[in-house]
Formats: sequence, C-alpha cells, structure tokens
Amino acid sequence: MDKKEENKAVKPAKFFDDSLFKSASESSLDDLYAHYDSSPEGLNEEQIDAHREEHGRNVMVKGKRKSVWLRFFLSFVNPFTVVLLVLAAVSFLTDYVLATSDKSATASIIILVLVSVSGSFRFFQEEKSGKTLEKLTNLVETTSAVMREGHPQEIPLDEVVVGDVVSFAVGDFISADVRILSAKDFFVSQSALSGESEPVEKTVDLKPNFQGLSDRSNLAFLGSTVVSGSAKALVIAVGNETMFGAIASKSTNLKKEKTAFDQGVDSVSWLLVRFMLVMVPAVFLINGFTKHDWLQAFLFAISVAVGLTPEMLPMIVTSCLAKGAITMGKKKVIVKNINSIQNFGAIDVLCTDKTGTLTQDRVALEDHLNINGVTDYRVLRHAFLNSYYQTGLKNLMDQSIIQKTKELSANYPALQGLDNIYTKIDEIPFDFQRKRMSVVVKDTSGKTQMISKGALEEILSICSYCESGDGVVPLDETILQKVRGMVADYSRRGFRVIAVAQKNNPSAVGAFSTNDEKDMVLIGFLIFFDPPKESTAAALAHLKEYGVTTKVLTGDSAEVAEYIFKLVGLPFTGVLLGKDVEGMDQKSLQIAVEKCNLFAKLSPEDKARVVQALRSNGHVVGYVGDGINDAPALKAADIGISVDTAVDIAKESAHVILLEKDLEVLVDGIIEGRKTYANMIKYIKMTASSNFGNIFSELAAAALLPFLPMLPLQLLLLNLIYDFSCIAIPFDNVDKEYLQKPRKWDASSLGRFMIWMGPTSSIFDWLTYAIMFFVICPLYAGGNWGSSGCDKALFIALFQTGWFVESMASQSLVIHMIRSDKIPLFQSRSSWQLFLATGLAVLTAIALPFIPGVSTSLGLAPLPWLYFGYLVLAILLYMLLATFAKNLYKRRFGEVL
Amino acid sequence: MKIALGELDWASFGMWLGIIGGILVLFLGVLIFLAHHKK
Repeated sequence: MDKKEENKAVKPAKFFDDSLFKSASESSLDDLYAHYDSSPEGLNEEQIDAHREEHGRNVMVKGKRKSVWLRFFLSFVNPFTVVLLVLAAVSFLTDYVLATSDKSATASIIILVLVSVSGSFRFFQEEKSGKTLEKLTNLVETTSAVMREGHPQEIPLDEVVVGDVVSFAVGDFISADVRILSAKDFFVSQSALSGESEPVEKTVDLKPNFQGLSDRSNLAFLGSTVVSGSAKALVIAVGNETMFGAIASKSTNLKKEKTAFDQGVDSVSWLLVRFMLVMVPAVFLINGFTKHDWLQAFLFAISVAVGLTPEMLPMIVTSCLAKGAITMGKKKVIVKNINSIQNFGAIDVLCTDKTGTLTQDRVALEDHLNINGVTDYRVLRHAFLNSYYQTGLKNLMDQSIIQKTKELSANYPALQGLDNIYTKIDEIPFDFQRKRMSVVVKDTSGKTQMISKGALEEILSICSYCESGDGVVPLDETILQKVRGMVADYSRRGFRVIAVAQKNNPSAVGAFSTNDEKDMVLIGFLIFFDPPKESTAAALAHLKEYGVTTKVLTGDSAEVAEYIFKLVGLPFTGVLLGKDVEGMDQKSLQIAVEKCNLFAKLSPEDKARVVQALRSNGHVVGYVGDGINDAPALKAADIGISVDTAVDIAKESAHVILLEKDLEVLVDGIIEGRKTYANMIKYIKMTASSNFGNIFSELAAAALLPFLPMLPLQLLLLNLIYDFSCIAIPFDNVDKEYLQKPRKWDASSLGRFMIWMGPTSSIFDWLTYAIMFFVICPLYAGGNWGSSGCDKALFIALFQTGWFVESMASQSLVIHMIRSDKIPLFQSRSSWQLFLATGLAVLTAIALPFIPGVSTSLGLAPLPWLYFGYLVLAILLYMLLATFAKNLYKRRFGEVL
Repeated sequence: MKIALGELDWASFGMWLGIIGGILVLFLGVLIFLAHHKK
C-alpha cells in the first residue's frame, strides 16, 4: 500500500459506540466469530483486506493533519514576517505610491524577498526535522502475535484488523480492543485507561457486578498491558474506534507536560520578552521626542522588539535536538522523545540489569543435577516439559532448556519424543510474587503430574519432600542445609541456579490453581551460566571516565552478580538485597543507595524504589532494562533505556531504545547527548547575552543620537543574517573536556551569563557610535553633524552602515568566544560549518553596502578603508575583553557553558 | 576624506571616549570583584 492509500485507510475519529462492546461482551463465542466474520483459525487475506477497508488501520489519528500548504503558510506567521510586511507596505506607500519623483519599489521587493527566505527556511527546517524524527521512531516497532489462516505470526501493531485472533503473554501490549476467547490467570493493567493501578483479571465469561465498560471481565482494551498469564482474544475494534481512541480524540486539548529544560527555555524567552516590553516603549518615546519622526520611531521600536524576540529560539533548539537524535540514531540509539536528549547527557548514575547488559544474554544450561549434585536426565526431562508447554513469555532459560534437550535427545532415549508422550492439561504462569511457574501434563498412561520450576527459595517453600537416591523422602533440615550449601557454592562461581519440583495427580482438570503448589517433591536443579560480554569491562571504564557511576540492579542472587563484578573489573562497594530495601524507610534507603553498587534479589517495585531514592539524592538516573520486571524502574528513572528486542511494556516505558544491547552503544549515546546539549546551550546563552547587550546599545542610541542608529529594515536584516549563521550551531565541535562531566540543566546560569557577557558587546557598540559620529562620518560626509558642509543623508547612511557591520561582526564573533572555555582558534576550533556560516554572515554584512542598487534600497553606504582599520582593531579589543570577562566568569562560576 | 583631521570635534570625542572608558573600567571592576569574592 502506498502512503496515499495508507492515509485513506486510516479511519477518522468518530463517535464511540459502546453498544458494540456490550453486544460483543454478551455474545456467545460462535455468534462472536459469525458477527466479526472470523474463526478460531484467524482471518484469510480476503477477510483482512475487507476488514481493513471497513474499519481502517489500527492507528490513532488525533484530528486531521495540517496540509503541506497550511504548514507552509503557518511558517510565515510570526512577529518577524509581520513586521517586515508592515515595513514593505509603508515603504511601498512612501517610496512608490506617494513619491512625486524617483518612484522606486526596490526596498519593498527586498523586504518581500526577506520574508520569503525566512519563512521558507523555517518551513524546510521544521519539515526536515519532523520527517527524520518520524523515520527514527518508526525503527522501533511493536508487534502483535496473531493467528492467520491457522498459522501463528508476529505482525506490526498497526496491521492488526477487526476479527483477528490475537495471543497475549506477560509484558505484551493489548494491541486493540478485544473480547477474550480463552485465558489463564490473565491479569492486565488498565491504568492508562481507567487510572486504576491494581491489575484486573480478564476471563472468558462475563463476571457479574460490572459498572462501566472497562469493568467487563471478558473485554480487554488497547493501551492495557499484560501483567501475568496468557490469553487468546478476538479483535472487536481498532484505531480510533477503540475506547482509548475515543478518549484520545476527546483529549486533544491536553497539553504535553513540560520538562525542566522546556521550562528553562521558556523562562529565558519570557525574560527577554519582559525586557522588550519595558524597552520598546522607552525607545519609541525617546526617539519620537528627540527626532520628531513618529512613524520612523514607531517602526524602529517595533524592529527592536522583533530583534529582541527570540523567535528563532524554538526552531534552533529543535534543530539541535533533531540533529542530535539523528546522530544518536546512526549510533544505534533511538530517542523516542527528543526532549530526553538533554537528560541523557545529564545522567550521572546508570542503573543496569545484569543479564544481557553486563553479560552476553546467552544463558547456557551448563548442567542438570539431582539433589546429590549428580547429572540427572530426569531433571532435564521435567524442566523441558515445563518450558515447552508453558505459554507465557519464553525467556532465555526456557529456550536454553528446550535447545539442550533437543541436542541430547539423539543419545538419550529418555529425552526423545517428549512432546508426543505428554500432553498439556493446564498451567499457572510466572509472576513476580511467586517467582515460579507450573504446568500440568498427562502421559499416555493417563497419569497427570504438575511440574514447577523457579528460584530456589520459592521452590523450596512449596516442597515437603525430595527425591534422593533412596526414593522420595521428607525434606528435612539436614537436606535443606545441604541443598542451600550446594546452590550457594554454584552461585559464588557465577552460576544461576533454578530448582525443579513435581508432584503426581494434582487437582482435577479445571480446578487447578496456585493452591496446588504445595507438598511438592524437589527433584533437582538446573545450572546456567551467562558469561560477561567482552566489551563490558571497557564500557564500564568509559562510563567512569565520563563521570557516570554504574550500579547493578538485579532480581538474581547477590553471589552471581558479585562474581560478574569480579570478571568485568567493577569495584564492589556493597550490596543491598530486596528484603533490605523493603524494610527501609525512604531516608535510610537514600543513604544506603549511595554506598552500595549492587542491588540483588529485587522485585520490580524494589528496583523502582532504588531508582527513586537515587533521584531524591539529586542524581540524574538512567536505567537500562528490557524485562517486564524493569518497567516500573524504567518509568521511575530520568531516562529509561530499553532495547529493541525488549518486551512491549519495557519499550513503552523507556525514553530511549538501543538497537543493540551494549553498554558501549550507551556511552556513545551519552556523549552525543552531551554534545547536543552543549550546542543548544551555546545558542541560548549567546542569543540571550547579545540581545541583552543590544538593549543598552539601543537605549543609549535613542537617548544620545539625533537620528536612528539603524533603519528598521537594517535591524531586521541583521537579525535574519545572524539567525542564518546560527543554523550551523548544531554541527559545531564540542571540547573533549566538556564531554567528561554529566551536564545538568541549570536555568540560573543563563541569567547570570547574560548579565555578565551582554554589556561587553554594548561597550563596543558605544565605541563604534563615538568613532562613527565624531571621526569617520564627519571625515567622509563633509563635516561634523550640524555643520554647514555636512551631507546629512550620507552622514546617517555611513553611521548606520558602520553599526550594521560592527554589530554583525561582534555578534558572530561572540559565538567563537563563548563556544568553549578555551582560547578561540588557538586552543579550541569551531567546526568548519560554523566557521563558514559566521564568516559568510560577516562578509555579507560587509559586502551589502558595496552592491549598487541594493545598498541604496537598504539605506546603506559604502564604508571607507579607515572604517575597516577601526573594525579590525575593535574586533581584536573585543576578543580581548570578551576573553577577559569569560575568564572572570569561569573563575566565579567554574565554567562558561 | 572631505575635511581635515583638525576640523573634527576632538573635545567631544575625547569626552565620550572617557565616559565609555569609565563605564568599561567600572564594569570590569565589578566583574573582577565578583570573580574574586565567590559566595
């Protein structure tokens, strides 16, 4: 389907029809299949097309997207272009319509060109950023398991159609609104929909006593996530027709929550706007009363207002972030929300799970032992039956058990044809409270048995017996001690140990539940090893080098994790166990998390509490995780980092997705985040300080000069050229030293930087006023201001051109002064793009007065060589003064950016 | 150059240079003071 057809296939938001849900909830399964033209085998190609045609794709569209033309038009709607258009109209009126001789519309045409250039530039920049970000986020795909024409398959979420038969396991997203067809201990979290934090059970039958639609036990809704169990369901609504779609379309007025960074940028913008509101009337009145040309005074005041309005700030910030997101994307780090980039560079504590991040995620089954520590194929056989028949998420251990059994089955007949001998009767899926899973199987003789596997203590807690060489014996204290000793020994050597238990003839079919998990027989252990990645040690060293402390948060035992610490050379500072975390109040936990760098045996909630405690201590915390047990911590962290292969809920909770689960990739991402932040803060500080400086220059000019220091048009042109040169900022180099430390957003540094550096440029503006007014203009315009020989028009044009060029040079130069703590050009060089852009900006300002036709239309005059002699000297002095002020600033506040 | 250097208003120029220089010295003085008297 091409893009046009795809868009057509998206159904517009329409009125939510709850009768459809009620009837789906109350229908029998047969009626349901008939109504939705489906079957237990799922849909065929023809049905899929027909259903998509009728109900649309499974995507939500909030209102109609603005057309390209409307977006293009809106790029022109800003104070900058409005003022330019007013200027064009005034100039057309005075220079063309009302002019008696020498009618000329050149100035108006130039202004219109400026409007077109600035609007188009804004439009293309924003379109480009939007498109690249969309492409990046599309790289991270969430899929749904469906049955189609009798074959189970994984399809992208947006391809799910009404009538599809979908399967759900722990950690999955509910991909559409569905009616449950079969379920086993199926609990979902509907918090995104109903705000209810407790998981609710969904069943095949409709339980009585429901109040609203979301209470109906046999319906599950898009936006929910599976907390435990498994289920099959029939899709009854997709996209905008879903309950979530109805809520989303009603809540288009909900505003995006602003981050600390957004608030900081806003506070700078507002500070400048407040200055402007005081400044502009003052400039207007002073100019009006002193120069008696109220129209010019008004236009100048408005141009000053435009010059001081940081109207390009949001666009440049977005460009910086988009550029950062693209570079990070190339380094296999996908940022889901570009505002997270700033936080990414600010991470100073990285919490990570162990499996797959520090280790290879290649959990290999090393051995299968009975309780005497002897390899026993019976243990493996039971483990296989449990892993093979459980329908929840098959984790790496399950995969490893199945693979090992298949490998060994050629030589061991006891392991052959297990899937034919046994049939599955029932199961109790894994959850994080029980930390085990059970299946019930029946063999060909009709004997049923329940097999459970899970963490050692959790299995021991449900066992009353064990199988030793003498048959089944009670599990007494002596055996328990022996078993625990053996497991501890393996754990200390880095092995992960899982226990296996079984019992014959549990409850009858249908009555099987967690109550059956008791009086079981411990039969043995599975020994796994997950070796550390080769890159882990180097990556951890890099993180340390970049000021990031690593802490490991694992559900695994402390012994296994400690062994991995040794292997990767991570100094061990202390361990805190899940039970310790649970027993601590917030204050003690805040103290303890600082001392320890290993947190073991943690539940998902414990992980989130540790992350929150670290954040309360003022750290910016990144959390890397890919399991359902990581979701609360991913949400609690400043930056949740997950991987492309993670469960849906982890991907959804994360801010950043790694296309490769490797700490080295993360280090690259952090560096890129810091670079992006550095370039962005450069632009913000520069704009704030030069705008602040301009306030003094313009106030002094209004009070002291007999004419305007610059024409409104010249002021706007200066603004435009400067903004153009700033598009190279996202491409600038960042000093290595700057990248060594985590960068936390500090709004107060902006204000003080502005006040500290801004006046330096004002001083040089005043110096230029004095030189132009008392020396250069009189020399070339035929006399001092007011004298008989003075050509006033030339005097003013020269003066305005002089300030125009000096202003451009000093504004461009300040970029190079403050982009680094070091001495510009000698110790730290900008990127060639920035060098070229600022160089071109200055050259354009110098060249414009020399271009016949253009210069007169802009009110500029060619400058004499004497002026350029002064300009070089002034620039050198300015560099010296700015460096001096910068060093003083560094001395007081530590660093410039 | 359309007039001689001697015809320029050097006195006013000197006065304004002095004022600007004074402001510069004052500004730098404040910066130096702040830089050496950390909170």
